[in-house]
Amino acid sequence: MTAQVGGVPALHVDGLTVGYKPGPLQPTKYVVHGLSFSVQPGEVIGFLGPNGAGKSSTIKAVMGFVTASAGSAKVFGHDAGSITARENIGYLPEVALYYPFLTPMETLRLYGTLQGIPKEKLRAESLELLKRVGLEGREKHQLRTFSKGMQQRLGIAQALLGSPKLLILDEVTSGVDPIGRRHLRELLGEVKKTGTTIFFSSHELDEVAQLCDRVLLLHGGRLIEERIMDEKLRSGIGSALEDYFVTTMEQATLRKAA
Amino acid sequence: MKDGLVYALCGICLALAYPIANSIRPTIEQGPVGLTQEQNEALEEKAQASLLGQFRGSMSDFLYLQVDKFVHEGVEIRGKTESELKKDKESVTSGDGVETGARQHNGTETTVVPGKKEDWRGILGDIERQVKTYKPMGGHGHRDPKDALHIYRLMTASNPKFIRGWTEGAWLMARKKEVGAEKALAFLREGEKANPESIEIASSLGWLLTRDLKRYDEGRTPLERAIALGKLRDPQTLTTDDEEALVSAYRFLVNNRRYAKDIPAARRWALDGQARFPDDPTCRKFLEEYPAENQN
Amino acid sequence: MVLRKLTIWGALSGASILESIRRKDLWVAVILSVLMIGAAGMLGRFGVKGLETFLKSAALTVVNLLSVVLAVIFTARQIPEEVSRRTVYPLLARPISRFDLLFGKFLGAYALSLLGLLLFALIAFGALKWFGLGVGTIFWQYLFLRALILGVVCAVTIGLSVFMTPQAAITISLLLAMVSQTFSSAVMLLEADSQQAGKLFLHGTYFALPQFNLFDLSSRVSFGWTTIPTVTVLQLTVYALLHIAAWLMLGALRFKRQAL
Repeated sequence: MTAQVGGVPALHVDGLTVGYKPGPLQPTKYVVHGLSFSVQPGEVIGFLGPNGAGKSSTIKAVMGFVTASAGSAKVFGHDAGSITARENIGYLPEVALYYPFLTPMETLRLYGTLQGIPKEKLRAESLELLKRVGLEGREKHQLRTFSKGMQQRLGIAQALLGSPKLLILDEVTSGVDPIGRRHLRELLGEVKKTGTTIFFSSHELDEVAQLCDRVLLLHGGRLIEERIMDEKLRSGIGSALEDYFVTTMEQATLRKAA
Repeated sequence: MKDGLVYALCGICLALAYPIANSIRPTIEQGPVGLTQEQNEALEEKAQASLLGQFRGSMSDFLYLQVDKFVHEGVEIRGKTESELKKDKESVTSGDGVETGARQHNGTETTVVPGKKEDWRGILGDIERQVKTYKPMGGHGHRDPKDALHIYRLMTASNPKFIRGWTEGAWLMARKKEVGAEKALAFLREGEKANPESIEIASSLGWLLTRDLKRYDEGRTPLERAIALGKLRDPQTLTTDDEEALVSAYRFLVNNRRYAKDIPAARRWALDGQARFPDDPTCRKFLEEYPAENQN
Repeated sequence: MVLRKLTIWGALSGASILESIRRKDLWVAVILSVLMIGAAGMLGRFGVKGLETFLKSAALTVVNLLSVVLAVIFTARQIPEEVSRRTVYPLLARPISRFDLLFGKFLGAYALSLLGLLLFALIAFGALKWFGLGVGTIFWQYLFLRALILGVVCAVTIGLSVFMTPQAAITISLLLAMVSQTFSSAVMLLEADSQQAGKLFLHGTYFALPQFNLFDLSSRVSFGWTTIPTVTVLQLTVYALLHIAAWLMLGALRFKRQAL
């Protein structure tokens, strides 16, 4: 199932199992079961699946927010969750919330400093990114005055800060209006052109169809399909991909029930 | 909106501080102000006043405890535990109680921070002895309790129902030359207004007028009232302080009448006192001295 | 490496401080200070002759109490709030360790607590000066030791806050700080009457928990006692630093393993 291309993969997941303990005396509930896949540098991967499929849990394990019960994940050859691995990652969480009393510039300054970007470069880069995500002119407004969509744009800006080699975006256009969505799609298109690897989960199949080189379909914590995006899937502004997605998921559900 | 409310609350607090301060200043300065009957009723009936009363009560209790610390120049003292008292006894009989003896204070008290020999905490114990206002029991000085008078004033201003504040405060005032018995009397009268049913205050007033001011006829009234109040009360509800105040009232009234050369009245009160407190030596001795009513 | 760490901690604590100031957290301190001035003004009207010791004691009790309460409240919400509003994710997506995050947040809360302490101390100092009361050199020793103990308070609270809810952390931290003197006295009394096992337990508890009351010079300041030896101040500094390190490590160990 894993696409094998030469060189160190941008992301390599091998037999990843993630589980949570609902309570101290309760048994572990596994949400990801022995997941394996690989993402090559420069690829754009759509990570798809219905709610509860294990997408966010996989991403959290890759980021080191949860510890895998079994298996491993590596980012450019470094253990997922390690500081070296995170030096290469730009990450947008599923629900992006930021400090309500800070301004976008202050927020980017915080993340940029943590990333280790020099002060002068950071300022110029922050201004540029805010312009690119459409927050120009709002640099000095506190985030509590921002709409959910505007916060999401800021989230994209912070993820792009420091030009990461791997972008991991969890529900990238969540809460963004149609105009903003198009804007972000264009922005990710530009990022793609720079050779950045993008790994993103989304329920918006339009953007997946337009941006991705490959899609990974997850169901019940297992990878059930992996498919290279062809012209057929891209056609009809996502409707073909939608049909493919719905059919695959229904088959997976029936198989599980049987 | 929230900010506005905060501003308003601050404004109200500051605005209230001045009139409240003004209203209680005369009490502190021993003016003729106590709680009126209406104020007393309000204090008992209204919830807000009751809540305020709780605060005032806690404040006066806190201040009362401060007096002890003040008198010992900051050194905190506590009563000895039973095992400590037992240990003292043993060490005295075995003759090795030098250090323990140094920690004794009237034999029954000791410092809250223990001395080095009794302390198992090593360096932490040494640090505590450096940091706290610690001196061994035998090694610390005492301030004159009369210097704590101002705390008593604050105590009674904080809670006019705190009887011990009035009586002990008046006792200290009477013993302080620059204050004197007259001011002590004014202080007690103020306490009487706030606590008209207090046996202790009435008894103290009688004691002050009889013993310090030698105004026997004036002193007779509060002493008689103390006894009347004691008779009105259910004996089961009398506290130890009330009982002691009642005994004192009998003793001072007997002596008061004796000094006023009204022996028949003194005998009547001595007989009355002996009926209530058969073991009281003052009444008994007086009756032994004056066995018959017509004796002068 | 050291410079990089300092930059990370500085950025994290700076953001915390900036947010708290903008959120007007310190307004609580300002309002309480205004009330303190009001109360002091009220007491001032009684005249202070004879009440010097009491006034000093009351002012320093207020400083002790408010600075500890503010420190605990500031600190207890630092980590849980990051987790609950999910700001922890973009932070930990950066090349920093979880200890860096915990320590940076600790520094932010500590700096705010120190700011609160300075504010209260300034007001207390001003109010006492207003009454014509001097506090002597020992006041600065008192202030230094309070600053040290606030570090321990913040470390204990942030350590506890990764194990439990902020409310529980606040309650336990306040209990530890407020009843420290009573606890110390109670342990001394109980120890004398305990059997061997009981003694062992009490000794262990006493040495394991930070003894906040050892950092309180207010009684000496109030009663006009002399300064304490420098060696004692140094011993207390080491004691505070050890407790800060221990509680931060305890918190970091738990936070490192915590699923976010």
